[in-house]
Amino acid sequence: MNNQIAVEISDVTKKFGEVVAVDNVKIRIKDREFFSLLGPSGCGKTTTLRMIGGFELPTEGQIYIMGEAQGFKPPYQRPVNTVFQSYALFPHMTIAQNIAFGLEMKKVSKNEIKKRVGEMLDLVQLSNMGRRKPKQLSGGQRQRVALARALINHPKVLLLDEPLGALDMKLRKEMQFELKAIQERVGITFVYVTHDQEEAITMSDRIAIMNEGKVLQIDTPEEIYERPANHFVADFIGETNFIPGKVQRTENGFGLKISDGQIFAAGWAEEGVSIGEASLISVRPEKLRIYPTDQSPGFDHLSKITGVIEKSVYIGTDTRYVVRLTKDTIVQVRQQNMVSGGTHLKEGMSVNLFWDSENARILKR
Amino acid sequence: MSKQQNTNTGFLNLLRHKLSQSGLSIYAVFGYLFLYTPIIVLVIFSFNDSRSTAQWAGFTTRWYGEMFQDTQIITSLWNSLFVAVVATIISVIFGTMAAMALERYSFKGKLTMDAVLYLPIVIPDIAMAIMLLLFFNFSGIGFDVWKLSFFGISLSVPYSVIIGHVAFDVAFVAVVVRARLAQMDRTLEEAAEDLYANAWQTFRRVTLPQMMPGILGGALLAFTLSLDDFVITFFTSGAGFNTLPVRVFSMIKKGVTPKINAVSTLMLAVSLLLVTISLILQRGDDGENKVDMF
Amino acid sequence: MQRYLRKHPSLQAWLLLIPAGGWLFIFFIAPLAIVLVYSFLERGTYGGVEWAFTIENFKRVFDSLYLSTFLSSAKIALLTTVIALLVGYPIAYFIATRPPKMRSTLLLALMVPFWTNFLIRTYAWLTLLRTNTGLINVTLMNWGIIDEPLSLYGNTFAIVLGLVYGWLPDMILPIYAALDRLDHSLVEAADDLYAPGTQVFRRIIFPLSLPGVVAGSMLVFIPSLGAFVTPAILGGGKTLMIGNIISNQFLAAHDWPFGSALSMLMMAFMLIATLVYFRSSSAEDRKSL
Repeated sequence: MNNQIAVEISDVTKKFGEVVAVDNVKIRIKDREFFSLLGPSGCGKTTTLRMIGGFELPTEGQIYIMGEAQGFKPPYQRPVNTVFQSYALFPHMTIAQNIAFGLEMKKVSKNEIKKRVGEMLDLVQLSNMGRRKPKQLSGGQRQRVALARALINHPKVLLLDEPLGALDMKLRKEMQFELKAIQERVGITFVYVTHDQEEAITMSDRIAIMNEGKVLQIDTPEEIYERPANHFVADFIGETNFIPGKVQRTENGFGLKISDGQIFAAGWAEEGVSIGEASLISVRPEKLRIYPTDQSPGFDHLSKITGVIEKSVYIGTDTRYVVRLTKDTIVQVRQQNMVSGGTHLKEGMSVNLFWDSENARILKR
Repeated sequence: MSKQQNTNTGFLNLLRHKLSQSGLSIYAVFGYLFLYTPIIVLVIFSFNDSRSTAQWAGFTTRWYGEMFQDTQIITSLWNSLFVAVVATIISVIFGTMAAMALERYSFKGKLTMDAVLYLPIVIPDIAMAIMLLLFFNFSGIGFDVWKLSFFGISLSVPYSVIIGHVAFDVAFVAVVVRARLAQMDRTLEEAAEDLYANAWQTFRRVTLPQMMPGILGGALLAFTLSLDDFVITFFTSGAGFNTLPVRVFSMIKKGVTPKINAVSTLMLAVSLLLVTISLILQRGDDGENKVDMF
Repeated sequence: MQRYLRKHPSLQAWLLLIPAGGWLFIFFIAPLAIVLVYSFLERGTYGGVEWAFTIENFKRVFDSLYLSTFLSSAKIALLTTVIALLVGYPIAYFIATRPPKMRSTLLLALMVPFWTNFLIRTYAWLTLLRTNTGLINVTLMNWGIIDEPLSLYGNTFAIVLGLVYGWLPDMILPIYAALDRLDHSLVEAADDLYAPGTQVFRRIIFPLSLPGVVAGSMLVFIPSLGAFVTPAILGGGKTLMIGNIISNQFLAAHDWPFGSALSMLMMAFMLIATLVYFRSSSAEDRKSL
């Protein structure tokens, strides 16, 4: 990945009448990056994608592709191609004609077209299917045609709008793998829209999390998972515990005082959180280590808190514990079953939970 | 109702059910007979070897012979086809454009234009016929024919009739094409634009092919309506100009003979031919079998 | 220019509409206006019109002769609609309760007779119904079933029969569409709740098919009111409907203003009926049209 910016979305807002679909969004997508826009339905991710493609125009702000401002340019004047959610294959044309379409519009010679279409069909493993029509293909095959039809034009940027949504689980996982492989091989910038966080985390170099038109965090999958910037992101990605309490200063930094007076040490606090404010601490279940109180090792560098196991659920790879800290605070702890038969922690046991404070983050409610 | 009662009344209910089912089926059979009988009788008696259309006197094809030798009938047939073809061509082009405007855009005055394009469909024939009659009279346009000749062919163009036909044809074409446009996948056009096709190329390579079933359906409908029209043609024809239905009407007024049956059978055959073509065309592209032409 | 058009989509729309819209404004709206104006004018001595304002024409309509024809036309149209409903509903129900494949065949078979010219179909009935030379009477007399021919022609019976025959599919198709869209789980639920067949029909199926019934009735009533060909051919020159009277004013009596007034009244009546329909049904029900 070089340092060139493939797509810059600069202070872009999109309004549909009174409704603000995209709210002052700033994103810089690097060249050759696999970049995902992730968020729940209606968060504005698809609208943002469409604005890059030229299917919608920003109400405010500007979109730059490879440094060039796109202004009011229609899609056919932009160096991007799109893979649509419904594939949008032309039903009255054959697969080969579909794939060749962009080249035809660019007035590439017939021989050249024939050659490149052949190569594309091989690339997506649909050789010898050129003569067929879209309705004769399965969902997965159509998806690959849509991809081929876009890639053959060597766009600088490829836009993908939830392309795997209509496929069944197994096929989805295969295609995720293939898409990533193709992206790395061909070296094109991919801008990928999805609502499936697992998909985004698996495939992306970086992710932008969106909600209600705003971008909440842009980071690598690991950063987003380990260090979510706010409540929404922490909640949307993976599982986490949200423990309510009041912000306190501690010897080494700060923590959250929970209802029974115990202090939950944290390594980071969201900007704007003040001492004494009612906030939340976010800590993921797998980051808490659990030991019976009478058998706890002495973890000096780790923070500690005490509670009682209320419930334990065996899930094969892990065991989950619901631990009650106070009258109204519970946390979920996840422990890998390293030994068969699970751990020997039983319901009703008094336990200590240990964690590294950098894994606990204070977030605004 | 307990389970016990259910089984006892079960048989009775079953019997009643079966009886009403077969009663319905018998009724339906009679219903279809009712629909087909007049036409079947009509066709049969076109081969009747006598002037009667009620007493069978043997098989003959002489009425068909007479029909094909009747210049008035042949002329009126030709006139019908000419008017239908011209009116269809004009109304398909105008109607498709109107359909695109109404289905794809929103603008001030759309509701009015919408209504204007529906009026010819809902207005009764006779009202439209006299409207046009008065208009052609008032405006001085008249009911004449234009005589054109080019490349050695001379044509008489019955402009008043054609004008009236286009007026109602265009409304029907618009409805049919609009229906097709409404169910078209819009993302196909976005995909075309995404693949470097400008507005005209998108239209020609994607939108138009997708509209084709609707356009052809509209064309066929317009053609059939024009071919079949009687009332409007009757009132907008100049002296001596006849289309086939108009000619048939005067024949009926003069007296009933199997010759009229023969002409009718001919028209029936043409109608069936047109419908068969329409059905074949509809099966073509999408592979869908829709019976929506009526 | 392309860019200008791109920025002004309304302009694109209007350009597309000019041919059809223009055509209809000149050759439909203007003629309609002329009829409206003429209905308030006086009749000219040699035919045509005299440019003097009058409401005589409308007054004349309420003259007993014309009013009674108006009323009998409405009666015929109503009768036609009711009979078409009674005849057509069971057929629609029959088709709707067949397996899917059979349904399209049955619908096709239903339409075939109606892809012929209306004139021809009416003529066919003429050859069947005529008093002394109609097939029905001739056959019945030949078989000795009757001595005197039945009066099946030149009366209300013939006209209603011809109209019902002509407009039956317009009644059947909307009803079929409504029945087809019926959620069968509702019928099953009724069955499950011990409702006998007739009750299921009366309380569940029929009410839910009502939009189709209303649509079909509109599609039959309105054209029947304005019928011209059917009474002209099957009415034997005697029983006339509004359509024939209007046409007479222009062909024989040369009283254009009066004919215009009659026409305006007929259309006004139909407009009211249509508005009543639109008011009483929701947009969803009207989709079947």
